[in-house]
Amino acid sequence: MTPPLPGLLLDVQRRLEALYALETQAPVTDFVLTEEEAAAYPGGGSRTLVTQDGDQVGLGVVLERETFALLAGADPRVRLDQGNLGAFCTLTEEVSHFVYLHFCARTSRSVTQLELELQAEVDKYLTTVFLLCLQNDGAVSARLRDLLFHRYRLAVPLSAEQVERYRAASALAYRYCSHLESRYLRGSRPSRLEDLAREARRFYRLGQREKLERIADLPS
Amino acid sequence: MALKLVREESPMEFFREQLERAMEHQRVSTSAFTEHYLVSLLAGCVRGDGLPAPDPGYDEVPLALLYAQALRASRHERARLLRAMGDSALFVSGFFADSLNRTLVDLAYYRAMGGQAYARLSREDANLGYAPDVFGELSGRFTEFADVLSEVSEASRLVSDRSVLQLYERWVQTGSRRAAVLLAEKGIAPVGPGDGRPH
Repeated sequence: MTPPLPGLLLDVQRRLEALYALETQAPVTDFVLTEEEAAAYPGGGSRTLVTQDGDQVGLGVVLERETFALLAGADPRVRLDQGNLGAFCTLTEEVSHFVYLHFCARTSRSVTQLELELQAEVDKYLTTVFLLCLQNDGAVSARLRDLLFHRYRLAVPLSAEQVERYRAASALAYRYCSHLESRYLRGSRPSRLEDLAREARRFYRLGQREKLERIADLPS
Repeated sequence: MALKLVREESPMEFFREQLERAMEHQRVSTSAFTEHYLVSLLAGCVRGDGLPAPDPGYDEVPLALLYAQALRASRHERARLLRAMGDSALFVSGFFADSLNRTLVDLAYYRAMGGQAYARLSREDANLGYAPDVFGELSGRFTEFADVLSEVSEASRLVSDRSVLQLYERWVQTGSRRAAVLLAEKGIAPVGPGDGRPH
């Protein structure tokens, strides 16, 4: 792995664990596979691999070489901008899957792919917002949601069902994150961030059906 | 058996769960055959299956035209067209009830035509592979099932555009029990024209 990346992967994992008040899990860096190592497994590009044999669950995180290279040259913890936003989101999405799958396995819960994608979209937004807040004196641009949820492109060829799932997850996350932004991130009262964490932790622990209902119940 | 960490969820399973939930919420019960029919209808229509190709100049085949075609067709073709008409009317008037309120053709028309198609189909001696009473039930309880589909639509699309006025219009047009309940939840007790009471 290119030097700054183990630190960045672990940093994103620990941030997510802290945000959602999760027990510290094994470092994601122990589960990273190179593209060559993952060639025998299904799918392509950056992805999280899950194998299951009875109670034994195996996880692997694959990140494309281009993502590594881009982030190695432009560490988002120093400066996150349009140049490295896409690669940072890819990395965050895979770490999010890893953390959420770990959490579900620990709590003996099964998870659907839509639920995984939806949570990853929310994680992507919150991780990015917090990083940008640190770098921009607490300012949150409404444009960020547009960039994350409306101007994305799906990198590898996907089946129609996969495309539909990504679109659904993105649209749902957009609605939920719009709510978080307007309710907790506009204005400067610090207590709002605590409320945001409380809400995000509650949401994280909901199953798919409850997550969808939570979003459906949000005011338009 | 070990818990499967990542479970597959097909559109059928998704809609079955949503439908059961909506039926429970609206206290609607039906036979397993009709329930399966409704789940298949939702999954099929969302995929775009089953509806006849439109004639040039139309976005979809108008229901009245479909009905006329059905009456002229051979027995098997008639059953197929009637079923397409009933399914189309049920899906559109349930799943897109709110958007229908903004078109020239109103909800009551769709529900009347759909109910008529299913009623006719229930009397046809055509083997479409469904239990004989499914179409009779779909016809007799068309508005109830459209209401259930409407709730599934809201839960699936996560769009809540049920303004009080739209709900009221829907209730006036169709007498939908669901619209009445939603109005009641908003603190409005709907009364029909001529009841002589303010609303």
